[in-house]
Amino acid sequence: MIVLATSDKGGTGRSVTTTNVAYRRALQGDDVCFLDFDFGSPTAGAILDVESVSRGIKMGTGLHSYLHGETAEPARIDVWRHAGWSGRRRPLGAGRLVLLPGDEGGGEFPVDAAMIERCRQLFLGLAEEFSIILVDLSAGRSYAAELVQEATSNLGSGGEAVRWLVFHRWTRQHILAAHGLVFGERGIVNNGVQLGIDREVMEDSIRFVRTAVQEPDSAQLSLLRPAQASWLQRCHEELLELAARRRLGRSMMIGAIPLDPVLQWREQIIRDLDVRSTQIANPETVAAFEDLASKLTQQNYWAAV
Amino acid sequence: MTGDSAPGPRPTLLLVEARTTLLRHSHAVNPDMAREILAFTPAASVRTTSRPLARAVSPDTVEGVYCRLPSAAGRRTDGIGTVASRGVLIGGRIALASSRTLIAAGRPGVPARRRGWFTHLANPGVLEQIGRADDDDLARGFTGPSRPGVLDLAAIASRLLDRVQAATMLDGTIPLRTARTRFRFAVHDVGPHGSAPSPSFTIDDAGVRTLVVHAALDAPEQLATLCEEIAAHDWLLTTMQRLVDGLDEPPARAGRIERIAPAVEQLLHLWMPGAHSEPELSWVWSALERRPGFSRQWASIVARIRNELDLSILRALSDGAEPTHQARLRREL
Repeated sequence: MIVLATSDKGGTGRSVTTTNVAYRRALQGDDVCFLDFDFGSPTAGAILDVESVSRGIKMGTGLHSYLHGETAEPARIDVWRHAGWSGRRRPLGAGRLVLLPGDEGGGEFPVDAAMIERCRQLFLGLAEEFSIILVDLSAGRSYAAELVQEATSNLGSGGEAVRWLVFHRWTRQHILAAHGLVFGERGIVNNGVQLGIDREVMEDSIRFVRTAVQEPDSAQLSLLRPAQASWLQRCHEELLELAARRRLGRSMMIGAIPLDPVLQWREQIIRDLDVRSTQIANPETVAAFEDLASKLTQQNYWAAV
Repeated sequence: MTGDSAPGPRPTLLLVEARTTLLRHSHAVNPDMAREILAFTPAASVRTTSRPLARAVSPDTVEGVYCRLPSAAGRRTDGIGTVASRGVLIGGRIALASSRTLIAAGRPGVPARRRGWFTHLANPGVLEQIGRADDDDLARGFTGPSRPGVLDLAAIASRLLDRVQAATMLDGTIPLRTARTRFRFAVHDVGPHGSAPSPSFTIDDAGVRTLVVHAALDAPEQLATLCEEIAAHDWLLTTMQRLVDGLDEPPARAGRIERIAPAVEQLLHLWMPGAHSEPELSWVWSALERRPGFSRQWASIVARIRNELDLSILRALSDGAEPTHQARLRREL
């Protein structure tokens, strides 16, 4: 399965959520690879705490170089072995967790046919090996996103399932932006239709993830003055209604990641240890990551309702 | 173009790189389909054999190269000529691509130079060496860590394997996820009567397998076949060992039989070391059986799977269930 993670706006917590989902999924026993397609600012190395590629790989062997035909195979990094927090080895029972970093100083680029073919071959090759291929795209419309959508729309017979996760924060602007990114005139759905994919299939392959969510009844908000609390409640209801009108309602939502101080202060992998022993992260955050990780492959969350 | 018709210098080193994976198809393909998948070149025919195990070999595709040769000592040595590659399907199930080239040193007394491409194309799979670097240096450079800008047989083999996997008649189903293995094979010439030191087989940190052998180079195709066969068996071992290793780890306890099943059904019967290699080369297999002990490792994997199935049959019976699936798998062993 290929999972494409995107968002219309920056700062949604897309990268940190996607890397944590990759981590959780690998812990659940799947072989997972993570592709950093945010060419303008590769950040996966930093979030995963792989020192040598914290701003992308330096040797000209990253994904950016591969797509340009400058290296025959993009570099791969075994996260279990190289991440600062990991014990240098794969945890018992976990699958592989491999990062394909972008290049340091990569930048955006226009797409040509040879690149699409290279990208397609990359996905086909990775699918032989990994059951989950997570692709972190940059925020907004980008050449990289265009490239990936075209490459994955044409994986041949019996090809891998392709699914989109669209991240947005729980605000009016973010909801409208996410709606535009997916359902707009030049949005993901219409692009897919132009590439020959059935509209219904396309819509079934897209789900939304709400990030930095504070439910009005959460403990974090218990200190609010009554006036604030009731205002917040009203906003929340308005947003629920807006989301439903813009087709971002419950049936299209696959996950909600609560606001967590750890993620606000530093984008990082949250281990069980960070919840149980040091208690710097909230258990609800980990539960949300795990939940999203397992829903990726549960068909009932992706079929039309 | 004025071709130099004199026969080229005698090669003294053969370099082969093989990439191996599982064919992107739900079940083993039959010989007719294998022929279609491997028909890269119009008019040239795909060779197939069915005994003792099905094997289909594509015609060679030849690529011209002019690049640096891998010198471990870092010497500036170029190679000009061609690389020959072919795709192979084993048991209709294992897909493999190999790229090979013979390295021929410049003739003594004749300054090495670029000759017309026609001359090079007349000797497919031969690279003429320009500059000094001895065979040991080149073989060590080839089997050592890859460097950018140097002859990259892996990339050529990889592209060909991508082409096999992209064949339109494949259904795209992947019955079990397996990693592509990389196998490098360097053969030093010993001439027809030379004595050969034992082969050395190693696996480096990046998972690249290397085998260095001393043998006569007069039949490079047979050596390529040997390399492909060893690469395929090494892939089988790697894939099965990983599966068996995973069985003991905690979260995988549930669904063990489901995870073993595709491998038992599709891969176990493909173990047949030396089935397609020439008898004159069987000593290489014998050496590998002594160390690292290919078949011993395989036997232990099969025993582990058999135990797993037996236990699961017993558990099912004691739960009052009918272990038909397990029993059917058990019969495959």
